[in-house]
Amino acid sequence: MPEQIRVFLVEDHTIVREGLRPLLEGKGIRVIGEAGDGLQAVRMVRDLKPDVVIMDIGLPHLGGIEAARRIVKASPGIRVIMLTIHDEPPFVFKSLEAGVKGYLVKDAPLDELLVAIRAVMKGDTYLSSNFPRGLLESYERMVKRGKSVDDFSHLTRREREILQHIAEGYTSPQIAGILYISKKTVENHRANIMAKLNIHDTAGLVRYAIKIGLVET
Amino acid sequence: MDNNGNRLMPTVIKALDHTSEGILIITLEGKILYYNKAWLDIHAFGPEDDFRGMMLPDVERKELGPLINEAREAILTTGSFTTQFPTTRRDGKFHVVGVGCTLIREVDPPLVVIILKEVTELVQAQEKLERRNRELGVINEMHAAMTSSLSRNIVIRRMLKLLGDYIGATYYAVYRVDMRARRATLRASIGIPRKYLKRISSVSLDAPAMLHMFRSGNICVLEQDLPHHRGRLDEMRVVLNIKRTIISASSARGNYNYLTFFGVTRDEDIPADVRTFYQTAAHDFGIAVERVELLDELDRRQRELKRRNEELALIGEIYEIITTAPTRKALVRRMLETLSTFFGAEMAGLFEIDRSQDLVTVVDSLGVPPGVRRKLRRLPMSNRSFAWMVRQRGVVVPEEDIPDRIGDLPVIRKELRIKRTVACIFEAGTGRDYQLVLCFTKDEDVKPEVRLFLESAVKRFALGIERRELLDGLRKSQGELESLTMRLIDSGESEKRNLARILHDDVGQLITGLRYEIDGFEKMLVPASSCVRKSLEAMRSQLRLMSDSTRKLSRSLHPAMLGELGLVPTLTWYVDNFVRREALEVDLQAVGFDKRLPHAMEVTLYRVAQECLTNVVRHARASRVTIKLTKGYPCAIMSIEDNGRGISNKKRNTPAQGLGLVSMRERVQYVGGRFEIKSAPGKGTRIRVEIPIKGSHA
Repeated sequence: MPEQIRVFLVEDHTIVREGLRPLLEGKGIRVIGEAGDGLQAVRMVRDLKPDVVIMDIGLPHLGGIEAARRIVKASPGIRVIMLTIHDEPPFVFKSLEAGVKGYLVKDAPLDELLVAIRAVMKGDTYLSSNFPRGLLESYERMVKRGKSVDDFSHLTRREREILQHIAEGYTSPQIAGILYISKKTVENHRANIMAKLNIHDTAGLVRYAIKIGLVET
Repeated sequence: MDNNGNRLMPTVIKALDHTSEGILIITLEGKILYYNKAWLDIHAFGPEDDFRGMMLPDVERKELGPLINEAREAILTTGSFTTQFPTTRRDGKFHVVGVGCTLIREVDPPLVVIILKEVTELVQAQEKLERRNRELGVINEMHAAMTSSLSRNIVIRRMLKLLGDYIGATYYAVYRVDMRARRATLRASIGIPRKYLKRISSVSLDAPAMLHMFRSGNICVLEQDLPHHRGRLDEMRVVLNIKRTIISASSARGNYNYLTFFGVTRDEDIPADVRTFYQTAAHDFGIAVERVELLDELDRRQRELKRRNEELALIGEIYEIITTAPTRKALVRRMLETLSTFFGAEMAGLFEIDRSQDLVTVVDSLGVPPGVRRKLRRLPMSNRSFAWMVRQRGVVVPEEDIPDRIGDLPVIRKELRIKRTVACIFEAGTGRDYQLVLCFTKDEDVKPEVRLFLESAVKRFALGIERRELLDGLRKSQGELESLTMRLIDSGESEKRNLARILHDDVGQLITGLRYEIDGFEKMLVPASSCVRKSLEAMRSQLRLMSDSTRKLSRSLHPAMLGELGLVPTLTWYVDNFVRREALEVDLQAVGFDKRLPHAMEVTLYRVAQECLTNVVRHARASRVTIKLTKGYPCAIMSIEDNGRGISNKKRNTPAQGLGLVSMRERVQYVGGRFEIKSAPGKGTRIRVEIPIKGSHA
């Protein structure tokens, strides 16, 4: 007899949990634990080391996507399948980004869950059949296209503040006066900003600030 | 003998006739036989005086003087020698004469020829020189006094003294004349006893003595020539034994007329040249006095100007306080500070009077020690000294004038060494009465103009308090309105969120649970008949529809995605769907969102963006919208710009457009942000939202 697949259920609604459990039990699947919120799930999964975690998205204390991210980060071998009511692609993309292997909408027939569990156990990525074809491909294209993080995000809080002042037309001594820091510090920040944004003159910084809407034309 | 003498006489007379000397021929006994015109002139006798045949003693009576007698005696004692007396002497009015005497024995009886030679010119010239020198000295001193920087009164007194000394006066006075009122007011005096000063400080120009003085050619009035002594001046002249009054009027440039009086107690006439000089000097004196008066006037005007400037500055300061004081308390405090500094009061207080309760309560006070302040907190209105002060309305009250010195207030005032009190009552605000009290510990009166100005300052104080109270009221109701709106927005949003949660969590999950039940049920019926399976399938598809519409409803109420994924993905998703529905190009760019924003801010930005896009489709007829989201520091910024037809100011205030804008603005303000809209017909619309980020979210 092949080894049973050990499954952990994360679902804050008891009624759903209780509906699911008998449907999964048997058929080579054993539900080894349940949790009602994200934090509890992360803790328990760390101890129980299940093969598959079936995770809702809307959870108290810690959302399902964030919980999945932590679980995968802590134990990359654990496969997480999202089972959720949300069917909008952003949820799917965010989940995939977090390291989730399967994504099912609760509308889907239950058999699909079994299919999904087996698929992820084989190392595949499984998405609900409700989704249009090509969703996964478009996600992969998006990832390939590159950075989801923009240059501006690399700026520290102070650097953002100083860029704003530069764009508003203040000189370094004026900014130093406004922010109660030395002119030298302002100059250092300015140099860092230019390096991070790969812009090398003040006019360029101002153009950039206008482009991203930091100041108005 | 007579014949002989008479025969010889024409010869003698003829011999002496060519001289300009005065010739007097007498007998040894002293009988006057002859004199010529020069002799009469020297003695200042007139042609009407006839001395011929008279004896010398008789002539003496006519003030011929002992001089001739002396000459005769000398002739007689020295026998027949001709003797000359080159002496000069002063003798009463007979100034100076040179006397030569000749005894003519050839005739019988012998004759004494006395030759009077006027040698007065030299002496007179000397005297004149002396006098001129003195006059010059007077002029010099007057000039020095005139241009000195001494005080005005001293200058006038010094000049008065110079002039009076010159003519040998005992009493000196200068009056300023008001021709219109026909009165003269004393400006300065010297030597006049104090008790008369008050009486003569103002005299009528129409007093008989005054009129007479004017008529007498303004120079020297003999006391006995004045009309009946009845007026105050007249009485004084008698008491002071004034014999002559030297009077001069001067009107330098028409503006002021001055009268100078010099009382002379010597009963002696004043020489003509002294009078002449006096007249010019008096004229100079008039000019000098006028100059001094003008300087005084200038000085007064300058002081007035300075005071006005200070007042103006104070008014400016008061205005500034009234417009900038953030609270009524701050307003009162700053007003008290400013007023007490300006008027030099050591203590100041503002009291509120409640007439219905017969109570006075202190609003604020300055410079009052805490112990005393406690006592002042509540006072009965019926306190008599207080009520009295209230009645005085803006008057400076010397401490000793305040009645009823029993009770708390007088004790307190004494304790604080208060010497003067200004109490101004004014009404301000909603019919409330206030009393401003300034207290001075210096025992000197406050100038009347300062009092006047205090009243006007207090009026502004009243306005300030009134304005402040109205503003406070307005602000309070505005605040109430705002918080009401906030609560409305907030409760709307949380209501929606609640509903969405119920729909999603409870209804949605129930549907899901039910579906799993159906699945389980189907598995129990093995093998299920096709008709049962068909029925179960129908149930499932209906549940799916139910679940779909529940989800849609939930999402429209409150997007769960916003909570789960944050602003940027949710807005991106919303925009994607939006452009699919509407013929609109939307460019959304977001930078800096390495961290999520607080939920309330995300909801606000999301709702504003939604509202904007809806507005664009509904009103703007735009083809393109650009949304820029920037998480800067210290603010998150969202700008939304369309290329539509813009909104006119008029339209912006119509209910349909206006309400949307107002609710957007209020949402933004609720999270502490700023909402700006720029639009003009044909120029598109640009909305800019800035929300400050706090703490860990930055």
